[in-house]
Amino acid sequence: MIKSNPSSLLTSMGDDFVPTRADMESPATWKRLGDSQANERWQELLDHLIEWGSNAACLADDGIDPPSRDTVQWAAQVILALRDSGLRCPDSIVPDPNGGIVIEYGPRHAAMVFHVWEDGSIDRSIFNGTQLVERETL
Amino acid sequence: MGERTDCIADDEILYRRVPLAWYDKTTGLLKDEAFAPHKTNDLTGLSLARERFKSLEQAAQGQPGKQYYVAVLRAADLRANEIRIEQTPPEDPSHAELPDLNADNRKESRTLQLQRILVELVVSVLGPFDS
Repeated sequence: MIKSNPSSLLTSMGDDFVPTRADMESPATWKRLGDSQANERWQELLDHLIEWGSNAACLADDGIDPPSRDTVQWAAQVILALRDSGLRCPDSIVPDPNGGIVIEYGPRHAAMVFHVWEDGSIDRSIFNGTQLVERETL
Repeated sequence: MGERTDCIADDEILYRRVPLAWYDKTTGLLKDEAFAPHKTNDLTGLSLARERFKSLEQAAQGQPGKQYYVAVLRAADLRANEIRIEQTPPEDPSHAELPDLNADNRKESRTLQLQRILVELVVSVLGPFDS
């Protein structure tokens, strides 16, 4: 189970991590890419998560609880597992309102969604249009 | 909890405030999370504002210094999809709730599906507006 095997990806960050001036409020979305750009996009996505892990307060808003560092770690584990499985880079990653993180593959009419909830549970859902056709807890 | 009333007409326009994180203006993609209940703010239902009582700018008000989009919905569209709309509390006619999406059921499959349906029902997303 992912939760029981936390990655060192984010725990290796020291307290002296310096946040960048990256746009942290807009949703992180990626257009579909050729293989040549794929590695760069995976890294971009992981960098985005690292930013969230080091400066989650930037996500806090009226109606959005920022994810904890643990939650960011779990999301990073999911991302790494997807990458290592040979899947393409997800199309978006956004915070949910309650401290969770949602990783989505589009298009919307046939989407696969990984939801890292604030309690560490992780779901994979598949939508056909607005119909939720499959959902499993990982 | 205040008394709920069902006085919202089918032809009413409803507003949902959307943080910047959940709408990409470049792609026009609104995320399902825009309609995900918050575990403490949405105990009795997902909050909406009524156009009849609030301007877009008023509906967009949130944390000072932040900006928000506003998603526009039609009451009739929600009801056509069996999504209930209630005006509550009685002393604030500008506020409506969707009781089918609330803190208790936020992780249920039906709620995740309703969030997706609501995104499809959005007529337009306007803004961002300063708060």
